[in-house]
Amino acid sequence: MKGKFQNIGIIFIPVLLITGLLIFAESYSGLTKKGDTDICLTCHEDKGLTMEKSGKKISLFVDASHYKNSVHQIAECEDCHENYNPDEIPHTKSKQEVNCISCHSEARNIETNVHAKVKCYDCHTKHEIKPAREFAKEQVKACISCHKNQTLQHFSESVHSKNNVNCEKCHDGGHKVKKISKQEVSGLCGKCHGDHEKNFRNSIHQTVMKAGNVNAPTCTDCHGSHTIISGKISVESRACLECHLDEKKFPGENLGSAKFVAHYKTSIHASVEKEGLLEAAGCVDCHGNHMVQNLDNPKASTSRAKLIETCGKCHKDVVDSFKKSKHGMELSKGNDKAPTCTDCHGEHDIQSTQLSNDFSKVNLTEKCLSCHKDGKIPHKNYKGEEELITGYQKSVHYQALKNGNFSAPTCYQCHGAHEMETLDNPDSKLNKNNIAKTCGQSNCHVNQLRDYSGSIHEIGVSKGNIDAPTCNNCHGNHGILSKDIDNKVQKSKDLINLCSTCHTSVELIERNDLPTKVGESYQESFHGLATRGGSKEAANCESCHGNHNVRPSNDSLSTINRKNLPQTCGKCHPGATEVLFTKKIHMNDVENDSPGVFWITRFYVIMIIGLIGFMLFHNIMDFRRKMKKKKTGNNVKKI
Amino acid sequence: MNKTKFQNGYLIRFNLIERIQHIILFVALIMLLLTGLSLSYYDSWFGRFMIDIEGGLESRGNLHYFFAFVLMALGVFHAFYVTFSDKGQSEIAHMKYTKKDFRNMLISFRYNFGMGKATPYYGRYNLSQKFQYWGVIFGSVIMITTGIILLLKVWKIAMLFPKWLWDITNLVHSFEGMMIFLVLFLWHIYDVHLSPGVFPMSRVWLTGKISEEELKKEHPEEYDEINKDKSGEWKIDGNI
Repeated sequence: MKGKFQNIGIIFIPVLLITGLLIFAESYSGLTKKGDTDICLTCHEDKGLTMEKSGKKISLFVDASHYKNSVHQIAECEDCHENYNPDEIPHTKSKQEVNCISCHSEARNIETNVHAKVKCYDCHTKHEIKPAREFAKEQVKACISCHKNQTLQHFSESVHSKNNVNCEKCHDGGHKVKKISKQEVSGLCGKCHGDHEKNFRNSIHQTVMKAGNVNAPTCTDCHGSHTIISGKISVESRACLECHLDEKKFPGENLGSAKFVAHYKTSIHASVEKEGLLEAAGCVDCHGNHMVQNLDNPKASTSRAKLIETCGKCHKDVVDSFKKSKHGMELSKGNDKAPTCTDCHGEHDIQSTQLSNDFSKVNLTEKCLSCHKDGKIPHKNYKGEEELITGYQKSVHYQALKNGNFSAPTCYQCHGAHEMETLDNPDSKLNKNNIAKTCGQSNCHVNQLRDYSGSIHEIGVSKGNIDAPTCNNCHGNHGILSKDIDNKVQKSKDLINLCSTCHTSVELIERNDLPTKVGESYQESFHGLATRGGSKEAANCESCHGNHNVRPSNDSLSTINRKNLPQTCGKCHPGATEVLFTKKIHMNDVENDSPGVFWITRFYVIMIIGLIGFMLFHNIMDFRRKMKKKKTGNNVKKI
Repeated sequence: MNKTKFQNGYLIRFNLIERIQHIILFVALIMLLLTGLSLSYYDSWFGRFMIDIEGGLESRGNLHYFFAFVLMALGVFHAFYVTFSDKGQSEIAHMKYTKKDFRNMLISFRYNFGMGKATPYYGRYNLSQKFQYWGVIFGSVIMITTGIILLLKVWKIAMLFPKWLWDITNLVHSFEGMMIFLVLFLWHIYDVHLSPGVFPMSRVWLTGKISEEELKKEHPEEYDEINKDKSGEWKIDGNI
């Protein structure tokens, strides 16, 4: 046991001796240095230590703990505060500023850049100097401690701050800090937002900036600089309008002028936005954001070529149907005359059709007619016809519209607005097969459509018979007139003429196997005679056959079905009985339909020819004889 | 028979009542024809012109009804006249067709063709006069009957009859009207206006007088009958 301890002692004692020696040496060397930090601190640890300089009290207190935690803990006071004599109190003789650069030569730039007048300690503090990495973390705090500008104070809330994009990312870090000129901004932002910068580089904004326009905006003009928050990354129209409503910057009244842009405020897009609906289109929604271009640039989202897609971002269904329409097809073929969205809807002042305004139904008519009148757009059926404009404007539809009935139709209700098609297209609302549906659409002629459905005319149309009439064949196209014209006689005559155009046409009768002689037999009838004579009450075609619900007599729903005839005729002739209708009404085959009439006609024709013949013969002979006798002198004396 | 005698070489052939009847008849018939034909040919220039003169279509109808009424009244009066008055009874007796008429017709044809010199031995009324009289009677009856039926239609109490009845009455009315116009008027106008010897107009309808000479020539049988009364003898002129 004893031996063991002896061995440990032999090793341990020299170790202790060496250690003690080292500690002593260490403490001795400290004591021997000039300006010993502890000596300085003996005084400067006193919180009350102050000095007076030009009337101000300056604290000379140094927090030892800060100092000892700082990166400079191994440096002595005098390493920085050179030439201070600790014995001379106060140390006034040789005042020399702390020169950080003498050691930190990498920070030399600071002396020449925007921060030239800024002292190192303004950022790094005096004694609490942190390691660079730690300092960098709190760099922002350091910056905004001086930069008390309101916008900078909110930098910490910004999306950049949250994503650790601090001051130096843009302004360059460390001691190379700089002011960023307008021209540099986009490049700087582009370091991170490369795609956007690339777009912006080609935009009209960048182009004019390069051309020397000082008003041209760069990133920060729209997005703001230090206060960009994620919610506001999407630029509000306000940012655009700040410049674009300035009449000094955008004079005149033409496309692109401030006045032109100002119309936006009256638009449906703007007014919906005011109500807080997110779908409403702001400037960027149409014009694009970074790549905003002049209209004449084919790449522009608002160029004629791309406008459809731009509007289609929101108005998808509408644009899809427009693309299939005649207008859309022509546009895609590159027809200059073909209209695109703005040609009808306007540009900034886009309005709802519901309101009484520039895009109201009445004014819309003018829009359509501005191209479609006077044969400007060649029309298959009405080459250069005035009927297109004058007809509609005289029509009952237009009159109703003008009188404030907003459910009255204008062009698009029948032709379709975006899905406008030429009539020969089977999808067209005015294709022969679809006209009735179009006229009978809800809120319009629903009852008439109901009557018309199932009528002989409708059946013909649905079978694809081009001779069968649909709405417009009787009512006309654009110039649809009111039925209640005062002149009942004329109306009756017009109606008879109308029906006669088909029902007395030999060609149509033969092709469609229509009943013959209906026109003739009507004209010869009491009804026809009375109508021709100007009777207001006499029955015309419609009175018996109905109008929209014209059906053949073997149809039990027909007004001229045998069962329904007493009722139909009873409208005018109360008490009409079935006895009345033992024969056909329109006799197209008199010999079989009414032998009585046939034989009486024949009898009288023969009688008249016979009697007149006999009479003429008799009288001529008589005359001849008497003349002869007269010559011979046997004249009878007159009384 | 009758007691008519020649006075100053003239015979009173038609008395005043008869002459007035004739005037009323032809005025009514002319008016009925004008108003009727103007409706039939409404679409022609004639119809339009006539209806214009007649004061429109409604006025035309009223005129037609008025003269139809005149004609009907005349018809009733005439029926009474020929039934009850002596003159009327005698006249209607002369209007009857007899065997002589057939014989006279043959003679008339033969004479007109120049195949014989014998002239027809006519009585008070010759063949065409009888034909015209009965034509008027028969035509008027038809026109009045169909006219009344058509009037029912205007009065809207027509719905009890089948449509073919209207078709037929309408047809008959217009054809008969046409026939009356052609046969009666043209023939009668020839006889009393255009025929050589009477041109420009026979005045019997106005004065009622016929000269002895004319009676002898046109109505030899009657002339002989009167002379027989006077002389008690038959004077036969011409061959039978």
